[in-house]
Amino acid sequence: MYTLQPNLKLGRDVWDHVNMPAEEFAGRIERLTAAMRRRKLDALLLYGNLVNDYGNPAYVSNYLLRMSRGAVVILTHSAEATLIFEGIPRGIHMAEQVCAVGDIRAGRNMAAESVKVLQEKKLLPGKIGLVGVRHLMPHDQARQFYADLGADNVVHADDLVRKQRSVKSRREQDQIRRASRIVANAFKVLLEQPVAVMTPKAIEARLIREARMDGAEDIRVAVGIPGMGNWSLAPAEPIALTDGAAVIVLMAVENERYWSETLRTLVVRGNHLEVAPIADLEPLWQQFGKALRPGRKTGEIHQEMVAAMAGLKWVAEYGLGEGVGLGPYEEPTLAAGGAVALKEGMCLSIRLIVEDATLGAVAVGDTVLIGKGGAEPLRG
Amino acid sequence: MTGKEAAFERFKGMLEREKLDGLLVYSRGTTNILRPNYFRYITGVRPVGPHNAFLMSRSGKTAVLIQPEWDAARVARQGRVQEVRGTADFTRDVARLPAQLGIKGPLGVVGGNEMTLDLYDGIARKHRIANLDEGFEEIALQRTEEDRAIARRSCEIAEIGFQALLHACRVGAREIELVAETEYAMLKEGADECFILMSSGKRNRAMHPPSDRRLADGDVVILELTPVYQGHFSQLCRTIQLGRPDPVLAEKMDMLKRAFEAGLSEVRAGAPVAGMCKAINKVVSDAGYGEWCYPPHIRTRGHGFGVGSIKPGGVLDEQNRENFRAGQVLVVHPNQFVSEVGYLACGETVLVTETGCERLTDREGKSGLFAVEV
Repeated sequence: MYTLQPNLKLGRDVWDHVNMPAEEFAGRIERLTAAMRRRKLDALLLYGNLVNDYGNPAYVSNYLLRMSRGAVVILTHSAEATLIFEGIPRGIHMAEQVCAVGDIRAGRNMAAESVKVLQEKKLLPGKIGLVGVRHLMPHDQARQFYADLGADNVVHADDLVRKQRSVKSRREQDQIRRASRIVANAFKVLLEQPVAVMTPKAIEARLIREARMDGAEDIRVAVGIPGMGNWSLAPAEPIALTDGAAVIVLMAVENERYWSETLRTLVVRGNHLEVAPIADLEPLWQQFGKALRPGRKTGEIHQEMVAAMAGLKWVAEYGLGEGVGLGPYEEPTLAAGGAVALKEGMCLSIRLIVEDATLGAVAVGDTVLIGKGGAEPLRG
Repeated sequence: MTGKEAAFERFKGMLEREKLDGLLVYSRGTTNILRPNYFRYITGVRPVGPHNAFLMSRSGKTAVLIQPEWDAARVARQGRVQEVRGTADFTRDVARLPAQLGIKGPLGVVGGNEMTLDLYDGIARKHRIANLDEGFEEIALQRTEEDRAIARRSCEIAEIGFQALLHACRVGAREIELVAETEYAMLKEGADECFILMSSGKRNRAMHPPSDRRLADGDVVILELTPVYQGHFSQLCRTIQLGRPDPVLAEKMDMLKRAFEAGLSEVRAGAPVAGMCKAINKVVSDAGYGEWCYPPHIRTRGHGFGVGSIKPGGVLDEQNRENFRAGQVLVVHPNQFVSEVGYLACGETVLVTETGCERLTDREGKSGLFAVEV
């Protein structure tokens, strides 16, 4: 889900070669270069920026954008990869510690620096596939890019990477499991320990502390108070929560580049929090899990779940869920009319939020792995 | 009239002067220590989603358009703008919004350099666009007493965070634990979020994200500790010695403290920013480290802070052409690589006044090398 973007990813920046060995990246680059050949592309540029959309360059390099900057990886037929990040050369040494790419450069303008690399490799003029440029790159850089490459030579190739990224390898699934474990542990501690001053801000602080201790790179928390009129999930505020009040807590954690998200409804009991009873949602939740089977289209699943909630007041604006992985919000989206067929190995963050006469609203959400028989919740 | 109402009036005046029909303030939903947060300044709202726009017509009609749709309820609760809309198709709807507010002519755009091509061109097809970033910052620079109170509170939170870090600083503690405890303390005090860089070791090369490294007897811990409170950054840069004091380290920290004080003596309304940087670099150069005073080793001697304006700039160096103005908030940091002891951190946040500056962190001016006994 969309959540507040931090000014800096505050956690560790590590590359664990056991969890994600170099051959994983080599395999991805090999598959992408094969796809490039099929489309007769001379090079493929994978661009990403800011703290949410680092996934394209990270997918082939493991490079993490820690601030609101940009990065690009250029792939050629010979499977050579060059990483350029927005920053100063002093950062190259640190990037080398966590990157699967050997050729690392720093610069200010990602478009201009990319053109330099393409010229150096004698790939201009040539057919250049662009990933992420149209939807993410600032307009002045993108405009210069198209002019320098020649509009006729540019091929938008977002679909190549999107397809690969949407189905997770076994190692990627394990990374998402690890992120899920951090979320689960943070909630466990939150429920076990008293909160001295019961506010959404205190809840956020506790969850973030626990996840940070467990090694999370980036942590997002949003809190909703459904008893409050016109409520919504929002950044945590220091407002007092009264005894018996319900709080809907969304927590998303990024660990070693991979995200997991959980949504829980809690109730204030003195200086403790308890999990709210959500018996009405349980059968729906079970149905939702079973509906997420390989081969089913996202639109069909959406239709089935909307029909199943006919007797309830569904809080529709939060949707039913979307893909998760090298970003907190990926394709596919479980939306009306969606034509993407689910595949084994996809990971989704799914949720149900319905109005409730007693608590205002109740919500449940988990990150799930699509397997042969349906969705497996990754709850640590 | 509140400070923000007065700012709105000044924005309307700017539109009149520039002969523009409307003002559009855009945000990708990010916060950056080196850039102003225009959207937050004008709406009072922390942007959550990937696209956020504030629009004001010359007659004073205001609207916000945001993605995701569900965030509209929160923005509406803030009550500063007349109309709040959520959208699932921001690129389409932001191009339509000006006409819906009666804006037909040229549009002043702030934060437009963050827009993607489709977004920018979608607006440009209907309106001539004028970049108003600079004009916006000029208005946002006029700080109210409320703005100053926010800056002061941000600095108090930084000091609370530093005390938590000192408490966590012990042999065997991991760097990440220090950061977790520091962040926890600052969040509990109301910080929106935190920016922390650090390093530990016998001889640090640079600050970096925290690692799993465990502190050892004799380590030097350096850090940049930067909470954000209501959109306002503040920073302190400090050096801690763990265990037996090292006289060479103490001597070098004393040199940096002198550089800091020399820099501070050049901070007052009307004085050039470059003068402050030259004063710092002179002390460091006279001590024999001039080679490491400039890029690629050292890039800046401080940063300006604020919500809608970070003037005198994100990078304060000898090339900066700005003069200080009363009310500006900045960190002055002669952080420096010193060959004998490694990279050291020394810096505090101050408020520029007509005659000098007010220390907002380390208010007593006693900061130097911090020692933690083993």
